[in-house]
Amino acid sequence: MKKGGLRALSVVVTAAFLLTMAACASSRPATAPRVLRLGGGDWGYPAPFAYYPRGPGYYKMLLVFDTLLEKDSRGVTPWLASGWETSGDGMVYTFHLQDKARWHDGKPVTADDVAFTFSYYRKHPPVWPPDLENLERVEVLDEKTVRFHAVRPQANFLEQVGTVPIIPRHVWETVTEPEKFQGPSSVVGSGPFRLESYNREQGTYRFRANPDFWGPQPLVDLIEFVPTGDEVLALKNGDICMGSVPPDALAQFKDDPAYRVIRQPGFWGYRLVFQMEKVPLLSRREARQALAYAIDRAELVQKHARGAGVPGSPGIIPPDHIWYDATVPQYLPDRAKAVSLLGSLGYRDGNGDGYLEGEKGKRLVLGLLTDDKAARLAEIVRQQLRATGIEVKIEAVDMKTRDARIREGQFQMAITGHGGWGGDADYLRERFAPRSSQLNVAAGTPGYRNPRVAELARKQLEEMNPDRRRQIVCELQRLLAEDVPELPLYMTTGYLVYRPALHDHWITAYDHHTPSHSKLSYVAYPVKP
Amino acid sequence: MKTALALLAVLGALALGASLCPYPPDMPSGPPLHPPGPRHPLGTDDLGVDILAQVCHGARVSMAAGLGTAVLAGGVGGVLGAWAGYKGGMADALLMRLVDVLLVLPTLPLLILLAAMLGPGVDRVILVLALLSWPRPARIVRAQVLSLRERTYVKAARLYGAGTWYMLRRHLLPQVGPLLGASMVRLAGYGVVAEASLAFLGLGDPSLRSWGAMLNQATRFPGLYLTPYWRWWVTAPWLALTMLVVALAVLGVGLERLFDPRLRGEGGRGA
Amino acid sequence: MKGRVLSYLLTLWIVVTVNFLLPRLLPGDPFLFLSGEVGQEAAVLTEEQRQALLSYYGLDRPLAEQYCSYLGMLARGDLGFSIYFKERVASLIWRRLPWSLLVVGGATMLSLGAGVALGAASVWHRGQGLDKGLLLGLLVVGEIPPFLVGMALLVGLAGVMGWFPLGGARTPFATYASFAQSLMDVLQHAALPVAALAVSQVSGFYLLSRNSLVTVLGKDFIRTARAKGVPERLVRNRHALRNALLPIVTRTAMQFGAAVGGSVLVENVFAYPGLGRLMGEAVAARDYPLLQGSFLVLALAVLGANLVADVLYRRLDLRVGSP
Repeated sequence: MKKGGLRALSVVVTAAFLLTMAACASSRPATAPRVLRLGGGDWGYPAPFAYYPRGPGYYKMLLVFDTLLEKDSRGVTPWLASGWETSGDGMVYTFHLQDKARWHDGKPVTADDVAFTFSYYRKHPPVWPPDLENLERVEVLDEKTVRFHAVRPQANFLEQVGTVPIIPRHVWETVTEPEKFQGPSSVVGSGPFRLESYNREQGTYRFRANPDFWGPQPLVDLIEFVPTGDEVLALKNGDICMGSVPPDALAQFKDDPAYRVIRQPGFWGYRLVFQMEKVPLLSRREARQALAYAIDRAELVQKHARGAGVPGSPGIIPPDHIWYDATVPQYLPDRAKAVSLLGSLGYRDGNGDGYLEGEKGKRLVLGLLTDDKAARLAEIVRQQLRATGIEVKIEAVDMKTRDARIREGQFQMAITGHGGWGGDADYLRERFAPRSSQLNVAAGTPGYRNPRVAELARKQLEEMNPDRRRQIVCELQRLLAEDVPELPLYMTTGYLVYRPALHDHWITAYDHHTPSHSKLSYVAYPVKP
Repeated sequence: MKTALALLAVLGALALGASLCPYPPDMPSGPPLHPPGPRHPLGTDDLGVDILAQVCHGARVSMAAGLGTAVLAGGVGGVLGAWAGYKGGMADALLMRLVDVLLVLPTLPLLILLAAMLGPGVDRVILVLALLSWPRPARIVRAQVLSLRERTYVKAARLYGAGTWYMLRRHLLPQVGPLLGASMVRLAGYGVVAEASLAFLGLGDPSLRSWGAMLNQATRFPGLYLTPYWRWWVTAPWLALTMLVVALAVLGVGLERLFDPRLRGEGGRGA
Repeated sequence: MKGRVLSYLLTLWIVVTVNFLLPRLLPGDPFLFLSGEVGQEAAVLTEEQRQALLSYYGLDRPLAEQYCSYLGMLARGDLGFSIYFKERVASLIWRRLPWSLLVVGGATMLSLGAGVALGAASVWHRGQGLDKGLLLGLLVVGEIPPFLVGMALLVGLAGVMGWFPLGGARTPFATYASFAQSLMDVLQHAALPVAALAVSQVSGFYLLSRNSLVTVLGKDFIRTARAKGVPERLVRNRHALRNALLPIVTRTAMQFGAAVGGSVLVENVFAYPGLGRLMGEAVAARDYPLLQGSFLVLALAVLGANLVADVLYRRLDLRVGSP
């Protein structure tokens, strides 16, 4: 081959190669939008007055709206408020708003919006209403500074005020029926995502990243919530990137490097409540302690939750709570002790039939009220108490009926289950020493009165120093564990499985159990160990 | 028909022999979720309770529910239907309105309401089922009485001054009896399925160990179908329930054909 | 005729009143949240907040007053505002009704067609193995509760085989190139719920058509036709079958109305957005306006179907002659 021809050939080849490279570069497709798909379901339109009172609708609303503070895995952290000052006596809180904070329609977020939000919520409570009883007034100092005045010093006032979603004045000041106001302006928030579509019948949501967000940038372009019949199947099919997996199905994900497993903290739990007014036996501390010894809570976790749970603590505050006191008496299962405690109250097995009888020879029978979903749990409790000689009659009704009967005190013992066990320890006061003027509907233990508990409960609410407050709460737990006014049965933990390749930035708030509920999981917020 | 009767006999034997079961139906007696074996012929459930014992005791519950519903609904419905058909006029119109309203009422909230008001127990379940199902026999009986009313001997008896209850007792109800009987067998089948559905929804009495309750507990087990446990835990009560209901249905269809004059003719043979 | 209309109106009024009272007799109210489903949180209200909400929705006024205002709203055609879903009751029902109709209607048509065909086959081969086999087989299959059938189908055909989607009525966020594609998607999602319901309804239609055919075959006009030398095939299809269909059609009308409420369990298994499921959620939430509205719609459907059945029955009686 001629030398000139070879050179020409190599030039042509190189040119062709370069051209192809250029062509590929220019025709390289724009990066596909990063989409995160999660299990959905219809929980209502994500506006502050339209989501459903049950379920995670609130957290979807929080993708669009901001609160003054946020919660990460350690504690409370600045969010819409870049910083704050507390007065020494705990009566005055001054917040500074983020300079760059804007509503989705472009207008800036001002202190005026914050003040308006609180006064509007007083007149029109949102679906999950904040407790504003201790808020005296909200003062606007300047465009980005707002000051809250409390009626009396209250330890959790900062948290109460800081977790209220802020709404824009210019949208809501003319709205008189907020729950009927569901147009596009009702989802104008300041948050990292905007609502793009919501379909009630299908239970689908689509949120698009807010390009003008004032804070840590969104890590994904789209979050989609899609309905799934079975989360495990959907996870395997790749329809969703994170799902809840029952313990028996965990094996197929555990050793697979494409998946990672998270154990959720136990902040949703079942408890056994006692009607101490109508059942004289239950008003005796020994009887309740006997029941605590007779019920094997670890076995409940094994049999009812298949291991996906942690036994409740007799000190009420659950083991995963940041202020849990592990030194409280645990009432490890001890049938002999239960029988002897009941014996001290006059109940013995006189005729050898395996059941305890009272003075008149009447068998000890207790009624147990439960809802249809927890009937299995009630059955296991019944079996355990039967082994101790106590006969239990179970009554299973639907959930609202059970709630209504608990509220009216028409039961002897009842099993109820709910979340929020990870929240501020003040719920101890609400459950066991409520202020007569403000009875939280979840509260009140009929017939229980312990002045020392009431005193400590009041004291912890007024104690502004966190370390001292924690000590009071620990002492409160010990007192409650001795009294056993109710018996927390177990907290559900559960496992979440996700594909790290799709999204690996999951943050769980310190008092909550699900990382997908926290907006911090979707933005470039630093993950703290 | 013969197979149906045989099936019923088998299930009846199960129910009666429930007390002969070695293991209790409501306390654990073995390892949980144990597959069928020599000690537990039908295996155990998630609490370690013997499934055979539960099936036997469940037979009692289902049969009681079926029998109770049949007798109560059939009895009340039959008498009311005959009375309305015979009296005619206001009484008849009133009854038909009542039947219409009952047929149109939503069952689920009615069940919840009655469950809340009446408390637990087999008798509560039977009462609820009877309340919901008496219109069916009432209608059938009424239709037949309407045609019987025109018979000469009935008219003659009325002319002689026979009172309503006498007419019902002596002449009408015995005539209506066979058809009502066939209808009652169908009612029994309905009672069994309805009790099972109630228990399946969780609104029954959980301490009753009925087949529906077993299915309820089994299907609530998270991820059941990804495990082998359903093979004995779901199959046993499902099979028992199906056998009982099918037997009752076949029996009922056969009886209906025997007694309903409209269905006679070339198809008069039993199944 | 006037008497009939009057009696139907009376029934309607009683139904409206009962549907108003029944939800309010249920224990609990829409704002009582002491508990929740596993892993779920619910609103936490103070007693005062709860009372304020009850008052806002007019639920603390005397019952008679609430009843009158309810009747007034009905007269205006206003079904109220759902407390739980925060939407107008009429639009909630309106959007869910088509899905329920699709499933129930599809199942009814499928089971009707299959039932009649199988019933006819049974009668033509009466007494033989096919007849006995079909009778037993369909009886067995018909007694299986639809939700069990549904679960089996879900796991088998959707989970394991992957031929059908796992739930819902449409593929979420899908954009369709054509109407045909959209239709295919809807049909694919509806296939399993329809199948589950149809399987449980088939035996009813089968038995009815079998009995009805047998009755018709005993009639004189059939004997006449055969004596006239009409080919057997024509006797069967043109004379017997056609006349036997009438009672089946009336039965269909009656069954249709009631089936909507009964599809609750099937809708639950497949997460299908139908009316039955809506009512189940409304009961659990004690959402009075939604309960009143959906019960009323259901009652109207059943009453309407009964009316249709009544009218058809009269015509049938005149045609076939009294039994």
